[in-house]
Amino acid sequence: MTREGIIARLKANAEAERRVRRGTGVHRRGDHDMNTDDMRHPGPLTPAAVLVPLVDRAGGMTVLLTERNANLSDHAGQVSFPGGRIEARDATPEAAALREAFEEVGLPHERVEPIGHLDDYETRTGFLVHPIVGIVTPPFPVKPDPSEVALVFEVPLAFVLDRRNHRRERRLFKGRERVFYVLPYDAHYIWGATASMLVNLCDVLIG
Amino acid sequence: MAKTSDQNSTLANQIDVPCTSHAAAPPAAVSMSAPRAEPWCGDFDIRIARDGTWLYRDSPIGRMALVKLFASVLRRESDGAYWLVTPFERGRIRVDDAPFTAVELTVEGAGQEQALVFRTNLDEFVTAGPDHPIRVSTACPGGGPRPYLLARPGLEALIVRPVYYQLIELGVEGVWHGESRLGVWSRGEFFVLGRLEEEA
Repeated sequence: MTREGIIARLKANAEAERRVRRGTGVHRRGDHDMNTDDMRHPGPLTPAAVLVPLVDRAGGMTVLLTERNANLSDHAGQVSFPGGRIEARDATPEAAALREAFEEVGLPHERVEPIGHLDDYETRTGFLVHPIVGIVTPPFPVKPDPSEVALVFEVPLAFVLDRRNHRRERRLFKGRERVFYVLPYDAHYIWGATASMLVNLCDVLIG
Repeated sequence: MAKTSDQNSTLANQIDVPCTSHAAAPPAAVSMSAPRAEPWCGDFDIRIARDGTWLYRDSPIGRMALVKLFASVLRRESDGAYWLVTPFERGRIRVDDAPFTAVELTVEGAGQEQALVFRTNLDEFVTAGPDHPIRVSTACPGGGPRPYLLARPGLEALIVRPVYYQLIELGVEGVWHGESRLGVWSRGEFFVLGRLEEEA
């Protein structure tokens, strides 16, 4: 998919969203999808933002992801987008996503062109995630923050856009069976919220 | 004649797929209880992907004419399964989402009597109306809205995103079960697309 094609799709999605309400309240995407609503986090949600970085490589677009440091309590060892909670100093979710991308992987703001967003996503752990899509123009430095990020890697966008790579798995969590998406790429096991957001990206780009 | 299985007349043998060295799976045992007029011939290894591509043993079937031929004998039965049915054989196929996709939309006329004419990925033209309703599913896995058009009885077409956006552009406010909704008119019917975005 070309840069222009991706931008056009994100823009059309945003325009449609302006007319039809979606992604709010009971209809919000989240870890409860494919499961029961009692999996939802009780109580208020913490606003968070992630950057969905699409790297405009000569050989084709890729998606940049991180593997979280194994000592992080919340999401140890998981694959995720750069991101985190929205702080008071962040003017917008976009600003938070860019700030986190810089702090966690050293991605400079000026290499990222925000082009739109995906649907809000509610995690079982109580975050309301705003996924911001940005096109990253190489070259750019990668300086992972070792306290949070163990590894930065890229997945070809073509892999994400091939629905044969979207698996559904079920597993026991705290005595209950839970269904979630998995995109197994190479040695990386991309699952849960990150996998769901990639499926959402696929819907927006080629659905 | 009718009892002899002509190797070349079976549906699967129509597919232009390179032969592989391993033999095809043996036909499934004849079902003892199936009260069907046609003989049970087992499931075909055919799948329709979400984007409407027909696959035979996971390879896309390239010949459009053949796909159209298969589609002409596609039925959905009360068990929810999709079947290819000919006078000589029948078998289930897998459908990942809906069997067709609606890839293009043209609008004829205006107002409540306008006609929304969809073209499917198999070049069939379907006009939305009482017999061909549009529905938007929000209850599907993944949470996103999925719009469908009923193309033939029991057989839906997934409306692709650009066409869905086009529908939303055409959307007008209407009343549905006493509540205000965004929807589109076609052939005198109002089809709900979603709730109206609240003014900020």
